[in-house]
Amino acid sequence: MDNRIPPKVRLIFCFIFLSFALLIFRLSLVQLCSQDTLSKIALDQHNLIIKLLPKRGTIYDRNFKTLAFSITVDSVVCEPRRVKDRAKAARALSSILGISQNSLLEKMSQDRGFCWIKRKVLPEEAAQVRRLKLPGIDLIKEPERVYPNEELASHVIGFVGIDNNGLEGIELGFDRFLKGSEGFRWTVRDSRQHEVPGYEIKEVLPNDGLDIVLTIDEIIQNIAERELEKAYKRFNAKGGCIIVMDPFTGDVLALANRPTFDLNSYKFAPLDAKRNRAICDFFEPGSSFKIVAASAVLEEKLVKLNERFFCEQGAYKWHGHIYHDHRPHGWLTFREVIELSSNIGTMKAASRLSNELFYQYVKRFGFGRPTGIKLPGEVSGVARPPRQWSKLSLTSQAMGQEITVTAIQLAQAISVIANDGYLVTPRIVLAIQDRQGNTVEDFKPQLQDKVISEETAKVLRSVLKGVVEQGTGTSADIKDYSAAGKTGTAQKIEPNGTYSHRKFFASFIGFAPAENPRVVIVVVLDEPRPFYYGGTVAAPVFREVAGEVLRYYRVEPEGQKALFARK
Amino acid sequence: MNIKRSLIIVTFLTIISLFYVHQQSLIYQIGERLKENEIHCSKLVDRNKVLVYNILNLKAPINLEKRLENKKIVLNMPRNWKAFAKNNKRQGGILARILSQGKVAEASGL
Repeated sequence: MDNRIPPKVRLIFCFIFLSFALLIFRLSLVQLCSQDTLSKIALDQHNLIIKLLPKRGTIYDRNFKTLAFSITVDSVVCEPRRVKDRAKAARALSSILGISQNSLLEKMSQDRGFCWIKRKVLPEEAAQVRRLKLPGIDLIKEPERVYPNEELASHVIGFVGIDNNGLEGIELGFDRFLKGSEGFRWTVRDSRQHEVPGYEIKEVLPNDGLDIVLTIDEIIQNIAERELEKAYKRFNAKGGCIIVMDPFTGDVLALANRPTFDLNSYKFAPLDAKRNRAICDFFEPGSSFKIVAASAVLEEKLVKLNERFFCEQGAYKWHGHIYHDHRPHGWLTFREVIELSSNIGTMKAASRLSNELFYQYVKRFGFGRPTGIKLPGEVSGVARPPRQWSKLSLTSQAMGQEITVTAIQLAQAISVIANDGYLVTPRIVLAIQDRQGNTVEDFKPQLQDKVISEETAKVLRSVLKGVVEQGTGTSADIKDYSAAGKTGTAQKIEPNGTYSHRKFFASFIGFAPAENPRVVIVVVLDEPRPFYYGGTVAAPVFREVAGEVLRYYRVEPEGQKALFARK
Repeated sequence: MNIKRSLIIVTFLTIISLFYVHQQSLIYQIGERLKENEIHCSKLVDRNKVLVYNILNLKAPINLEKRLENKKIVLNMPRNWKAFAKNNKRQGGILARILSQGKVAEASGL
């Protein structure tokens, strides 16, 4: 028997052997040399990591009324490589979404795996796109911030951008608390790139954002907004702001600005409307700043309340410069000087102070530095140190010139007189809470230094009560309640550096009731026309707001004491 | 004998494999059902949020005032009112105490 293998069979065996050898060689190459690259490609194709977005925290007012929260809306997305008939898809989407066909075609022609067509569309638009069932065109869910009160407290709350990052107000200042942190789900996908349910490898849940409780009271905010709006329109003002604050805790109960904007459509609002004038704009306060000079001379016992000052019949030359009163006055007691807002009387009283001492009081009242309210963008105003002063600076500053302040600083300063002499930090956030209502961080009221004594504060309250009863602020007199305050009318500075005779800041700062204050209110109107006196323009706003707030707080009407019955 | 044993092993392995495939298929089906329920649930939550937004928007003081203004309805807070202090002392009989729970009526807007 011939055991020899035929050459043909041997050849075939050799061929098979070589083929296998080549295959083994190739496999070895794949396994040893390209292992990392190829396994990465395979894993990328097989694995799917889905981002789990956290829910942004809710913003509440002090009574837990919702001011801002998030809902889920649809966004239209495109996978350009999967779109079959681009022209048809562009035509159909263009009519629904209101985007030009060219723009849509450009987006769909990109060599990319994903692109946005339109983010955060209306529910009707989403339903129409869904009905089209276009291949490569999909809808994904995205969180959208909504503000049910629209323009109410818009400058305090602020707003978020398209990616839910805070851009203004509390949304920006407390963004790190509100936004939370992302989670993820590591799972596998099928050949159609869809998640295979039930095959999760790892899941890390997102940490939802924390809720913020503000000191704002929705009702008081609404009252303040309404009355400011009326004055803003009535006096054709360029702008305005109002602050309602608790003088003992520093709680900002309302903070409104004009012009304003709707938080749900902030993109269409002009930049000027988005500015929080109450903390970002500084101005010369005019006569409302006389409370600082009056506090200083009374606290230092340099002036007695019934001491008489000659007010020079309205014109007084001081270091070569002539000062005027808005109305000529002769002899006035110091009480009358403040009540009638005499510049000359105030100057004469303030001139008994040294520059350094007056500057100390300016600083102690909180001027020249940010108040520390937890809102972004607060400015400090300008209070220059005495070494930069001229001979006129002390007397000019005593009547509210040569110094700039913000409305929130004025609220802080008038609170000193209302709360028996303490400088209190304005508070805008009460607490930070988690979803279950547990307090994560509590913001306590912050009383700073004692600025003036209780006796001085009491005397000043009676003087400021006189301003409302028989002085320049009679328009601030509230029916059924006593009130105290100070008017201010400040000339704006023209671009050439001189004081304007046409442009003014009208202000009123005050509190009510006068003896046992519940609220301090600051009203500032920028360039009101045709009337511009603080007592005419701003004081009535104070009267309306204070009256309604006190009735809302159910403060016993002072004129109705006899009716009060205790069982 | 060997063939018989092999057949048993093959049958056993086949049954095990079928069970395994069935189990995987069940996992997938349950996962799909869970996913559907999750989507349905999230749709309801989303719808709820939109409705809550609508309610809050309707209840917003700014909008309530706008509607009153449009209908020319003027509402004022009471100018004159009378306040009665709450009496915390429990008075009356047992029944009155239970029914009142220590509260005394408050009147305002007289």
